[in-house]
Amino acid sequence: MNRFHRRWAILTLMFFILLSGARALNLEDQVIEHTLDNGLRILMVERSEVPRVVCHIYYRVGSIFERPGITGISHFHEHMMFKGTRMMGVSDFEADHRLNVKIDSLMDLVYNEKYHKKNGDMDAVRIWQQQAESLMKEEKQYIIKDDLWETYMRNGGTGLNASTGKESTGYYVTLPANKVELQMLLESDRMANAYFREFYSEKEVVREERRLSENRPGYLFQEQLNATFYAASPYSWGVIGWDIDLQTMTKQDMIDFNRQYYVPNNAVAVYVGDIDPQKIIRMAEKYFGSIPRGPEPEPIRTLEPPQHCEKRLYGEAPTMPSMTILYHIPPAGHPDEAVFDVITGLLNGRTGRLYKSLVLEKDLATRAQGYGMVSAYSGAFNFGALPKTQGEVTMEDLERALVEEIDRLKNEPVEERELQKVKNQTEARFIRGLRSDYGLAARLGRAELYQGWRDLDRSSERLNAVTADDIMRVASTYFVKDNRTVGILLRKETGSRGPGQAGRGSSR
Amino acid sequence: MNRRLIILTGAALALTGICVLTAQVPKHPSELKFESLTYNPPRAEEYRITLSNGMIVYMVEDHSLPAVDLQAFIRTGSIYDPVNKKGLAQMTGSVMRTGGTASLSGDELDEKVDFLGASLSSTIGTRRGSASLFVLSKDLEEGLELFADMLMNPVFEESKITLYKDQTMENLKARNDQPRRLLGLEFDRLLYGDHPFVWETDRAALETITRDDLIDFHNRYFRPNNVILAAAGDFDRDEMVRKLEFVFRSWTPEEIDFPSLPEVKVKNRPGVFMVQKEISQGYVNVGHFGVKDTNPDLYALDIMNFILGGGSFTSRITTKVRSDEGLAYNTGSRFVNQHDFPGTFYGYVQTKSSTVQYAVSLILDEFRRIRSERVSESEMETAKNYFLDSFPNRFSSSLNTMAAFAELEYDRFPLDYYDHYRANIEKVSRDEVLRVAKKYIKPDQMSIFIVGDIEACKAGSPDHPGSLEKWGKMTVIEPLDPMAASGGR
Repeated sequence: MNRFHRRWAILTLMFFILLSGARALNLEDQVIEHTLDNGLRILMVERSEVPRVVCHIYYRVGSIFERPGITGISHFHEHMMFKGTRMMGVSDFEADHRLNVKIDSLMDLVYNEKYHKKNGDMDAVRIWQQQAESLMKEEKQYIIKDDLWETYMRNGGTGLNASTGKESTGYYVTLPANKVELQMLLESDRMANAYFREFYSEKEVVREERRLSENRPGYLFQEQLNATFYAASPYSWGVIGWDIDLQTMTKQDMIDFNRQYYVPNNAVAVYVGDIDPQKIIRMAEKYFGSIPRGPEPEPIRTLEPPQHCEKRLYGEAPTMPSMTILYHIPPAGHPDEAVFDVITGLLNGRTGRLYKSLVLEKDLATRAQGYGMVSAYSGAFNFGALPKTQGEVTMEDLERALVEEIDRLKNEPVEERELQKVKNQTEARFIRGLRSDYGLAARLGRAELYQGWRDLDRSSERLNAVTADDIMRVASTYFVKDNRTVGILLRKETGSRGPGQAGRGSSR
Repeated sequence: MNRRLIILTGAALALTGICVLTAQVPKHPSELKFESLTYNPPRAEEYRITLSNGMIVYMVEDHSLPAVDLQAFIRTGSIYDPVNKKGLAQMTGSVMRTGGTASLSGDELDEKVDFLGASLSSTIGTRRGSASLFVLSKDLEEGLELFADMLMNPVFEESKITLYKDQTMENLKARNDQPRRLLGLEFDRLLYGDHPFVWETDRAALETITRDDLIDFHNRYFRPNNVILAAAGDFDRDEMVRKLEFVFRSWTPEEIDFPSLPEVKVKNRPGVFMVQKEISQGYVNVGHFGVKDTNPDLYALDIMNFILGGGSFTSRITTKVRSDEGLAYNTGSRFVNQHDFPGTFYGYVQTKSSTVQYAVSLILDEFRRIRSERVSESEMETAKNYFLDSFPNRFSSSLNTMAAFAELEYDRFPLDYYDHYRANIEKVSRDEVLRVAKKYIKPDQMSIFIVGDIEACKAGSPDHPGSLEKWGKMTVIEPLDPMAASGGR
């Protein structure tokens, strides 16, 4: 039968390996890479089942590259990347630009008077603001609304989106196989020529996005818990940023930020789907090749210092009570990284230790989990549980039970079968992760920004080398009192009547 | 997906190679010329077989990864819950997976599944049950045994029923915590009233439901002739058929007696409805009853709503409310179609309390505009191109394709639905779009439903004065309290 292996050697090879029953499934055999002279890296995986291509581009930038004063700018900038360029989003660039220069100088006056003076002249602020607003109205005649987005959609673009994290920012579209060139044109254009029109109204959209989070009960507690856990490193603020920084951020901040990070040598383009890799490379040379290499962005300087003392945070919110215990762990690439992966495997799922102990055996919690959050510079291990509120369970009971399980990791060697289960699960999860073109592109792109995509292939090898002794050693080293932050969130009673409040205290 | 064809015209292919090397970078996307692409979708009947016990299977070999995926659709749902046992279907779906089988305890089953690195699940939703398996192909036989065992022989251990009830009780307490979820539940409850379609479980029902109820519910609906299975992955088709026949050999077909469902009383509820919550934004739905997914106007409706508020940034509502005015992160409109009942249509926005009135008025303006004049040629072209060019995406993986076919059959669509899909989209005209907008959007029938701080939303802002009452009588809604002794309404 004529199937996937009909066209290209790589897939044929992979197919052969699979048929022969070997377990050597890895990315090395599937990924084709290429680097342009300006430093842009390109990763390609050919999968020709359906005539479409998942196109992603990742930049090595996110909230950890920010500083106090501009927290949230990576994410806000990602929004602004949809506002156009010289080519896109505008009918008369020069006329629009002239208006923007005027608007920006008025808004700089407004910000300075409003945010940075003790007794600013609010009457002047109102006048400048009104002038700026009437210029913004005038500007509308030149703006072609959401031009890039519409162009993608008009060409059958799906999975259209962008996302910003602490360490990376990605721009995504899936296109019919004959239209990859459109992505090359639009993405190279906005890499080189982003123009931040509609900055001030988009700022309000971002602030509405922040309000959405704030209105999710428990969010504000988690934000404070994170800020408490990280004393110094830029992991201490969230991706959305602090509202005061969003308010005071200027257009010039945005331009400076763009110049520093949106350069080809700070980006990875990924194409997964029905492609001809040589053709992709030729196209990339044509579109991205002429963008000059930028200076290498500044490294992160403030890594998280040792904690030295336990921290505890108590809060209330109109939501389910919860307990969180956080420990600092080393960054990705550290020899202990795989050990944390194994510990995560031991703790979670229906046969994981936390569910078995806290939910099934002790009947204290309805949910319990523990997972390592590996990161480029400063990781965390997060234990969490939701108490059963129907009975007499206290937060102290819950914390004791969590700590007992943590101590068990330190004191009791894990049994061979349990360790093997985790290794099996990890291997299966790896294979599962390869099913989706989108997921594969995301994993490759993000890995390539830091440790390199080949590291994904080595992860199962590293995991298989982990021993019972490693687990005890690592748990004893990192899961110690002075290295932890405990967060306890209780339900807050609000004015309006919520479920169950009439019957509170009456346990079954 | 072996039985489909991609034709890239040879001439175009050769030309592009040359162009890429020599041409200048285009100054605008409109200058780009794309080679033509022909795509023939896979055809459902080529993948369909019926097992000897009546189970329908859509299956395809896919050897790209050493793994197999199964997804079963079972014709059942919480719409068949008895009135005093709301939540029975959902509980059955969940405890089927956790409560063990005739040969394995729940804990033993979990151990086996986890040791294989497999994934096994079962849920029952409003109008569909589903079960799925992911397993490495080397473990296929063992995985299939576990999957079949769970579907055929669940025993619903008491301890796992208790656990489920405890966990659900916690969820009930949190029912009204998240504004977005609260809005969705209460908006549907306003329109559908006391109908099985929107029933939610509550404390009283949880305390009433027994193990025998679960056993009976399972017995009634879980029959091979009531299952449609999608299978894709690293197997040989003929061998897979034999394996399925084998693991399901003891499962006997039986005529299923579906309870009759009460009619939905389609009566719109114009007015302003509010649920008090101390938050900084209003979460708003503006809408009324919609359509069934069998409605012949569906293609025109899809295009109309894409232009109105479904096509994200290319849609009118998003452009106006988010992009122009900076009022919201999320806004748009959607049709939620149902099969056995009319669905809903609504515009939505979440915006700070002081701009709720203004944002709602902008949405209502767009509702009126799309009913009063034809959409532009350019809007029409964008919408159609989107649906046509993104069409192959529906078949992006072999499992998705098999599941798409299974869903067609589940919802009793013709099996050649996808063969005609693109022609049906192409046929829609601007006049049609106007006609369906007029027919299905009724601005004077809208329920404006707001979850938020009532006083702050009513106060509005000096820039955009006005009152919520101008849209009709205001009613404060007390949200359902599933923990109350009486169990709500």
